[in-house]
Amino acid sequence: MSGSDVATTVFLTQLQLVTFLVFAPFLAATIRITKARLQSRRGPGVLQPYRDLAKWWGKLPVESNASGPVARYAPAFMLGAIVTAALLVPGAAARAPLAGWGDLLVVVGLFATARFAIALAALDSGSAFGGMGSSRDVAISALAEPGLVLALAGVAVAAGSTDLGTISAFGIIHGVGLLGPAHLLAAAAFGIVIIAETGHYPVDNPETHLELTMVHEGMLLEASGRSLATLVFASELKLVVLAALFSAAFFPFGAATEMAPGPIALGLVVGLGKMLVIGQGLALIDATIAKARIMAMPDFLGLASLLALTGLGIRVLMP
Amino acid sequence: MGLLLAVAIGVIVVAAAARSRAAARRVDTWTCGIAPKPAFQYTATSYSKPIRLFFRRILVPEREVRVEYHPGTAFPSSIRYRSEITLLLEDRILRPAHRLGISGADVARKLQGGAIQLYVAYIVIAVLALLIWAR
Amino acid sequence: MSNVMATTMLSVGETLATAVGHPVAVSVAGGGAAGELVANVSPEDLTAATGALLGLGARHLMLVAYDGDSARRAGAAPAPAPTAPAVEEVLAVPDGPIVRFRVELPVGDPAYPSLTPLVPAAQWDEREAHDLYGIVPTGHPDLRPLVIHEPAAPAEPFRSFVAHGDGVYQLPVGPIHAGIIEPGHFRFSAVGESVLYLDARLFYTHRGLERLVEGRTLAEALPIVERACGVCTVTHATVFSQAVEQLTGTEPPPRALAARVLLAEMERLYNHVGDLGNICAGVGFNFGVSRLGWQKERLLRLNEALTGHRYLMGVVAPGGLRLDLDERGLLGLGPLVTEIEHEVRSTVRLLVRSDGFMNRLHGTGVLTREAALRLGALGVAARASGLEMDLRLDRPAGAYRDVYVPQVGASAGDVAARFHVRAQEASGSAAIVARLADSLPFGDASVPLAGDPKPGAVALAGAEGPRGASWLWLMAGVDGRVARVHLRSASFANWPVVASVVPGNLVPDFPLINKSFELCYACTDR
Repeated sequence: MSGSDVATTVFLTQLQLVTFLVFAPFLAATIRITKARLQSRRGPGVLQPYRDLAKWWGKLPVESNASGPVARYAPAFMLGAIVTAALLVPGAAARAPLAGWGDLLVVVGLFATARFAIALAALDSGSAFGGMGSSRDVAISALAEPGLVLALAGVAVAAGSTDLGTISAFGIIHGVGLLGPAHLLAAAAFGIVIIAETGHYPVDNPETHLELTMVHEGMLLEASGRSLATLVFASELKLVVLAALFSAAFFPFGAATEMAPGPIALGLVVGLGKMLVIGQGLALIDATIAKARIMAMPDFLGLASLLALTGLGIRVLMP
Repeated sequence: MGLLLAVAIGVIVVAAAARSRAAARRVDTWTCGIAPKPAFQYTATSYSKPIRLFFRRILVPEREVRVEYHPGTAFPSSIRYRSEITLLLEDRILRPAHRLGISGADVARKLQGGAIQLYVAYIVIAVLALLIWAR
Repeated sequence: MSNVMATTMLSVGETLATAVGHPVAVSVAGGGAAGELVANVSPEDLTAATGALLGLGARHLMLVAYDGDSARRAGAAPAPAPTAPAVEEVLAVPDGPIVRFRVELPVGDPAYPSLTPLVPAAQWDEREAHDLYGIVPTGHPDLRPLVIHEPAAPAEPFRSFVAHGDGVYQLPVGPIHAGIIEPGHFRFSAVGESVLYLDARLFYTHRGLERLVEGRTLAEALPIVERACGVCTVTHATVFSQAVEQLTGTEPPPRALAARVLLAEMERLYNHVGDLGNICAGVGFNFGVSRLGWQKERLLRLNEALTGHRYLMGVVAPGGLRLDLDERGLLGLGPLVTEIEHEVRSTVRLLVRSDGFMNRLHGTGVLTREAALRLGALGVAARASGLEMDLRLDRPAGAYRDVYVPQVGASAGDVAARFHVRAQEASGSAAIVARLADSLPFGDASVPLAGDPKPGAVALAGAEGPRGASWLWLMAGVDGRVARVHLRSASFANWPVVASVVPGNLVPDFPLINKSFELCYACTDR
């Protein structure tokens, strides 16, 4: 690694870490506000998620006397995995901050790691709601993961590499020419996966108070204080990372290809803008359809796998 | 590389753990305002139930709910649940393969009786068959 | 006594005599329109007598228990020995009279053969009598505590009934919920997402209201009965007022009778519109929740303009209305209600077109016609399961005799059927309100009571509320006071039905099923 390479890595890491961490609650706020407006409500202010996190962070935690170290350390473990994933995904530039440290398979693996941590923590207290949420989450992700991997495999095959920076750069070079059926099918599959992975309609209702219908929220019921703040923040960050992954893999336009202040600043703004668009899309879906039964998940998420597989098939058979 | 990731995660875990040293209040697990019982825990069978339902075509789960009633009424006095799944690999592949192997070995053992006359007979039959085939 | 009643009395008497094997004295009681028959039967004969009426197609209405204290308040001379407790089983014969079987029980051993094996709909009534009056229905299949969860020794405390087997777990929900709703404890026995059994434990809001009004004047009792719950106030005030009017022989003026219908339909309308929104909330369909929630709020504001109270409290009273309807509120009422009904109808049309939404409703929480009949389902729940049951049509009281009430029904018995029935009834109610708002008779809104009720006299009154028929049993005491009152709300009758339809459904569908019945806890618990 040359000296300038190290400097780039350090700079991009700092930039990405700060912007993603600060931006994550903001993205959550914009989704909530749009949802509220679509329901003729005023909705919370953009600072509400920050205030919530600060409130929980300052609270004395209440822990179940049945839970042990798993519940205590899992939130930090989950956040750690998501933060690490955040640095392996290109943001402002067509190069991940920690380029060369891990490819898209590592990112997928980190998501799985994060899920494993929270699924285990939800079981720790012996609460039926935690177990129920955990069971549903694991079952849903078992259906979503093939779609995620296959969708990314499609672009990886096209770019000839599993390195996200390379995929991103490949996309920028080819521009609009990339938008063939194979690419769009994979992108659609990835969109469905984002919905499932971040717990939006029709998979999960992120704002429900009905314990029996909860998926993600069910796993958080026993968490409080800093654990809760960490878990919620990790979920908010996960959406940012998934959105960044989506843009880097499928619509990388705007990302900087040279390491100069101007292009990087532009790339950052465009990148965050794309995230906002994705967030608005999720809010629109949340406000306009009903939540589906868990038994409908194989159909819904099977669709993602099928789309991604078709895309991959087109790519391999008709290069 | 993997090591570096592990270190990154580890650092954050340690940092967070150190910060959350604040004394937590320890209370019973929340069960909506009633006293918790071990029976409220999610069971392993339940945990895997969605997967069993999603893949019911392959796993072919069987369930049986037996309800006994108070005599002459529709009020249940006991409800018992039993479930089983088909063990795909074992029941559909390994066991049939095992059975096939055993029955093949049985046939082979009959052929390989160990008597010298039998082997001579095999040779005679084989030679005759070859002669007929080559004619 | 009309000829019809005399004939009915004779034929009921004959039926009973054949069933129990000896003559039964049947007498006409009360001033109820359809007629009321009372028969004293012995504890041993109760089952046979009830069975005979069931043979005529009769339905269980309620079982009231009372004891020596009630009798003393009703003016019985202070006897040296304690007065015997009693139960009254009340049944309604369709297109016929309401029959009350009065069963006096021996002092010291207040037991009688349970009706529940024959009439499952009586299960909770008998458990309540057991808890509150120590009356023992022998042979009741499930005599766990209902009202008093942890009774003093030696009775057993409440224990949830659960299923057992491979991987079965118990899921406790409530009495404290994450949302702001009334308290109830639901114990699911489930395997993963599939429910095997549901045991509901209610009565967390039991305040002893019936005991509270005993010995009070009729005027003092009214607001307490009315406030048994917050969303059936017109229904409960009306049944109380009708019972008092029967006991005192008072005939309210036409304006009051018409206004009561108008208010009852406003109550049904705002409840139904809100409940349609709640069904949307059960599947997290935010579009329906917000649209219908806003229409419900508009209706509540109309209520306030009309009566000064968003939930219509303090208006209906014995003799008519305590306060006449506000003229200005009445002025724009018809067009506004019609407009709100249009909004609701267009929202419902959009909801019905959403496949994702209707998928969740179809086939969920099915109540079969047979089960509805057996368990005594009422109101929307019964009508969505193919039972034609609406007190406004079956036993019209007051101005309902002159009002067109459309017959609404469905047969599927699932959440979708209850959704459709509610939507259609809301439209029907809006039409009634709009018509009455323009044609309310002029004149006084109330008359003074014609006299004091006779001590010991009993009156029975029913009204079709938003959740079905609520019935009130009132025994007058001395000096115009209450000896005993029993309010059998529609929710009380429907709760065991809700618990019975849940097994076989998925755990996350329970909130939806529950909201499709949308019962009150407070007027069940009293």
